[in-house]
Amino acid sequence: MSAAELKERHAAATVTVDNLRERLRQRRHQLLDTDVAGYARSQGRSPVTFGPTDLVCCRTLQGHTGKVYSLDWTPERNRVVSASQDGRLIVWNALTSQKTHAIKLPCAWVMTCAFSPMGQSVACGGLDSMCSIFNLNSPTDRDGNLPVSKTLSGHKGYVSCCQYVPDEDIHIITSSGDQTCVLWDITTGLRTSVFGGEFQSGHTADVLSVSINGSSSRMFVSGSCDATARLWDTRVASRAVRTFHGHEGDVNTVKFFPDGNRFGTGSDDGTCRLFDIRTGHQLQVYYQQHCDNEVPHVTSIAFSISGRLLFAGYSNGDCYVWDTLLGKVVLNLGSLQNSHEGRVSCLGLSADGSALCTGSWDTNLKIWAFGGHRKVI
Amino acid sequence: MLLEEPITFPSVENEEEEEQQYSFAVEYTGPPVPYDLPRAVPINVEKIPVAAVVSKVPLSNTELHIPVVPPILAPDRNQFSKELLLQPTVSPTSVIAFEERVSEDTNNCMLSGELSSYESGELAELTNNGSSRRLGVCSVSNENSSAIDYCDSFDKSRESSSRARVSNDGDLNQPDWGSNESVLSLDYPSSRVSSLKPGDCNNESNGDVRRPQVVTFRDIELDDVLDEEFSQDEVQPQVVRVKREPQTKGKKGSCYRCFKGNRFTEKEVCIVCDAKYCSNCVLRAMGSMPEGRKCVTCIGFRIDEAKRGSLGKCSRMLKRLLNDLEVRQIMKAEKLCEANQLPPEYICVNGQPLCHEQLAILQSCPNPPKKLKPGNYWYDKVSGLWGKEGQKPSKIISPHLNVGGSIRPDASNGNTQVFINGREITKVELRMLQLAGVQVAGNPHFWVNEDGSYQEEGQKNTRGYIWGKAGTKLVCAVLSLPVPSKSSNTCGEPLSSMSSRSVPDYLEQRTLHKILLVGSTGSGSSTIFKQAKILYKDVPFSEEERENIKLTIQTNVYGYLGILLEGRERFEEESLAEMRKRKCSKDTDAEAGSTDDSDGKTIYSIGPRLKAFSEWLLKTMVSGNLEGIFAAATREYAPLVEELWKDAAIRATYDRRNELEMLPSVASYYLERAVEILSTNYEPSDLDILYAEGLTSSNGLAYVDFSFPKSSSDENIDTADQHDSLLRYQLIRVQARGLGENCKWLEMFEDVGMVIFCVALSDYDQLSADGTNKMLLSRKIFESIVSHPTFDQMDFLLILNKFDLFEEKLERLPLTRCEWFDDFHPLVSHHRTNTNSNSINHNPSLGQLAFHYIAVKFKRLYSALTGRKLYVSLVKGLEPNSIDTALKYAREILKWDEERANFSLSEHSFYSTEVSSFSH
Repeated sequence: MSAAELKERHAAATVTVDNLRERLRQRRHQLLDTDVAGYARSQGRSPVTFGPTDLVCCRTLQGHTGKVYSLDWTPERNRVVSASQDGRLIVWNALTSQKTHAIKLPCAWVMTCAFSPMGQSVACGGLDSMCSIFNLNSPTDRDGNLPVSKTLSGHKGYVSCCQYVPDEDIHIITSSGDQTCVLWDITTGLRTSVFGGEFQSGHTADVLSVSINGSSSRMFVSGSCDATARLWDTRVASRAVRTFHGHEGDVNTVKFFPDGNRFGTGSDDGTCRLFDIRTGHQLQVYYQQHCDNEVPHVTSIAFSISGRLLFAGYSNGDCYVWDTLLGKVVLNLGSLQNSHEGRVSCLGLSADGSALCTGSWDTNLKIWAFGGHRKVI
Repeated sequence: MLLEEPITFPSVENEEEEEQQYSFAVEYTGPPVPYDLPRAVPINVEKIPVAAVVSKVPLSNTELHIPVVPPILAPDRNQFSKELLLQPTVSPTSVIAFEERVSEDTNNCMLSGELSSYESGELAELTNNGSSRRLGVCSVSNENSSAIDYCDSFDKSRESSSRARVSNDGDLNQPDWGSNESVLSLDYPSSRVSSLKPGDCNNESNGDVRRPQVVTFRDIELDDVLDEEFSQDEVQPQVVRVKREPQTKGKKGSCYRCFKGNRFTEKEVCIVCDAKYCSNCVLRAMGSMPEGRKCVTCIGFRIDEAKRGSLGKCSRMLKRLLNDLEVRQIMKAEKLCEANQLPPEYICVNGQPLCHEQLAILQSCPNPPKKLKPGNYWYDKVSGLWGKEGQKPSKIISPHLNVGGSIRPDASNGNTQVFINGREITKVELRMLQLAGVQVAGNPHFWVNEDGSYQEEGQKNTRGYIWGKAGTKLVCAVLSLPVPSKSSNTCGEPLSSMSSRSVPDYLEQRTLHKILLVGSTGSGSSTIFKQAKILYKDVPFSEEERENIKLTIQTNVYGYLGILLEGRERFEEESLAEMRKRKCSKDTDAEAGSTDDSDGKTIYSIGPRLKAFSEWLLKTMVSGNLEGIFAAATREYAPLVEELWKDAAIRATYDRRNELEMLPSVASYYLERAVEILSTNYEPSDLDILYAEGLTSSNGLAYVDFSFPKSSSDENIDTADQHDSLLRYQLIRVQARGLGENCKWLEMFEDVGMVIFCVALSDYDQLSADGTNKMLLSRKIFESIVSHPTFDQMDFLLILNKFDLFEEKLERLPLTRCEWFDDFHPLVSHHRTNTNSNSINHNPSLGQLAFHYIAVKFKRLYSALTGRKLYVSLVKGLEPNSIDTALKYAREILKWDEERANFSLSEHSFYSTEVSSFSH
């Protein structure tokens, strides 16, 4: 078979696939008679309302000297780890707003960080294409720095996101600019499986985010610069379970819905979307029209424990609280007093859902919580 | 309506300073004044910020110049006050003019007298004696006055300036949510900024206005402040800072926040403003304490020098409130954060305030002065003697530190007429010398070295050792003179290698200039990176790196061998086919075919053993895990490689290597020495490393910190250049992969000083994997990076690399092979027959012409995209000198960029011409 012939057949196959995809899209469109908000409205549901003290900034975590890029809560205790461009990971006690660890990283260009489920170690990754694990209990060296306890190397591009597999400290899933996601065994430091890459069903551009299903930890989704999100089964690395189209820009962030049957995405096209992993349908688009033509990118999202609220950080410093049911913005944290002065780059909800932490390019992190009569500190 | 007279305040009465009077001049637009005085915000006198003088700032030597007030005629106050409001950076001269105008307006010539009485010594006294007399820039505002931007000069911190700039009425009462109440008072600019005493003002608001108005300026400080703003220099002059006062203060002894408790309740103190908080409030008031124990509002301010001793020592209360780890982090931050460091300009050595680098040198030397406090010191660089200005030596620190000016004869105020290293020594020292047995008759001038050896000035032979006698140290102890510490003698080479010293974290960030190096694949950016490492690092590659490099090189060589073997197979097939064809034709021609070469042997055939090896090698190459197996394979197959390399078939193939497109040009460099390289005890040389492909490409990012070594020519330029060797640069190389338009991580590099973009000149005819011209590909990446929002206003240096290859190639292939360069029609001189002898200026070579052409192409593209100027440098990646030149050029650009900020007002044109003449 000559090269020309191969090329021809490849082109033909591409056309076929595109046609099939288009038919699929049309069919989906046909079947999708309503979205969540439309149905909820028809059922007469009213949106959530917020009083003036229902969500206030009650702590400001100052200490970074560079843009904050990522944060993560511990599952059980009120601790937060944050990664910043100043080349440090800081572990915070969110209650007292004090640092407990400040880890100077060997490579300052860090993009992501994660707390282990047991709260014993933190992981981070960045432009050095490695995922570094720090054990918080290990003794510091002469200069007071915490040594790296494990490096997971093997990615051929930057590490954009990492998340520990829930309930075990030994597995972590990373996403990378080399278009793959990898499941690692931390004890051996080796790759257990690689998702995507050479396979056709993998992402075709940099993977920017992963989220592991909270209810069944073998499923995870990934969002990518190819404007798709993909669902993976850790047991089947060879191909993605499902690909979710819909976004018109890079998918910056993905997050599973608390029930594990849906997940949300945030994208450069300024929208957040809700997808159902069982049907593959897009359930809802969350988009706020802006008066000017500048469309802020969605940088990070998080769901409340019930799933009724969706917190979304935007590149213009806004942080919307969406009513997921009615698709309405019920609060903009960016317009409140004491809000961030820069892009909200990351946010996360504490495990018990009582507090929201936002990290921003203004170098600060802020803890938002119910500001009513409850006494703080 | 504009009143000619300024609104006047009754002057302020003070217990001590009867004559001290204040007024202000401001534009008045209201109705005619019935002499109703504007009401000032009632504020407690105690709360007003006091201008704190640096405790012992040397005022004896500062050149205080008292402004002369020449009469000025045009009191265009309206225009002026606007000027003042709009421009925080008024030039010093305009300030003087301001004084003049005001003084004239107020028809009161007390100003000059007032000013002249401001002797420097008095300044210090005035503030030191704690009187409530205010010094500082007398910018006074009444309650509707608009912004007074001088708050900048008081506190440089971003927080205060951002807050305090707000000074319109409307903002005064804006609540500051969520944090705490104490923030509120920050929003009263009048209370913070003005030097007016509002309390007094209040008292006398209904008083008479007959008192003459005087505007007083602290001229020197003002000058300094302005200069500082003007130059935007990091080094701040000796500004007398306003001491921060806590915003709220309850009754004595109570918590400053909740106003509960008494003297005996445990409290934590803010190290800036001395506010005290009880255990319930301390966490609210101090927040996350990024700079240690400071109120949230004090973050970013310098600490109270009196509290320097307590840095890092926290109270028991904090330990009880927080756990160990947290306390440790707070104390660490308190000790190490930049805002809490001793301001270097507070320390004067030999009459010269230090800069940050010098202070760092002083503090990080093996034998530093203990408990360095602000003040004036003298330092004898030869012997290491150190003492307070005008006093006997207090310590012997490490000698030869490059700090401060040169020592003065009267540094220690001696009167013995005996000199040590140019300093007249004190009586106590003389006594010590006598006891140590040194001949001091006849007022000798001694040179004393750090080891205690001394000689008379102008004589060669050492006369003896001061510390040689056992009794000397005892004598010193009795006379409380310093003796050399033991460690100072042990360190043989004190501080000649500045680059190796450890720099504190906060300084590191400041002094580090980051340079981003990017380029498409194959542009040679990794070569440049490696060259920089070899050029500027003492140990360019660590053991581990060398091991990795060795493996990479060996893998590469196996790869090259594989390509050769592949080529061999092809050549064998070709020649076999040819032979067969020939045989066929021979057969048909002559029918009597000889069978002697019918077994298919050509010069490209190899033996079965080698064949097996070659097949195995090709198979592993196809499967793609070349890296995985070669560690083990190296040992096993080394002899086989030797055999293979000696085989005639391989040699024949190697001779035809030009026909193997896959084989990179550097391959022959390694293949010539394949046997040596593939042996187990091979140690890659620097050149091997330089030539090696793909060393840094697997990991996305590599960086190297370096500083330019001081070259001999640099040394004698001037002292300012000495700091150059202290400046550190960080060359960051990122792989080109994913440098697309929507590159997410490029915004991480917004803090780099400049971007070096690397293009291989020889790429003009190369095609990338997907069939596009590599030069066009480079152009595309260049466009997307240059227009990336992160690099807005960034300087770019274009390195046109691989000029040697380019010149060579240009002889064979025209530049117009690349469609971007299709209008390249060089004027080739007719006299180019003797290309070797003619000089470049008169008759540039084709390569030079083409280089300039391409440079202009890129420059035009750049200025079309950004409207700015592109710097271009020509480089041969394998020649260290050319890389050195290019990186030094980058340094010049960075330096110029810094200076441009200073001279943007006046000398812009001059500088821009200079640089344009500098660039290619």
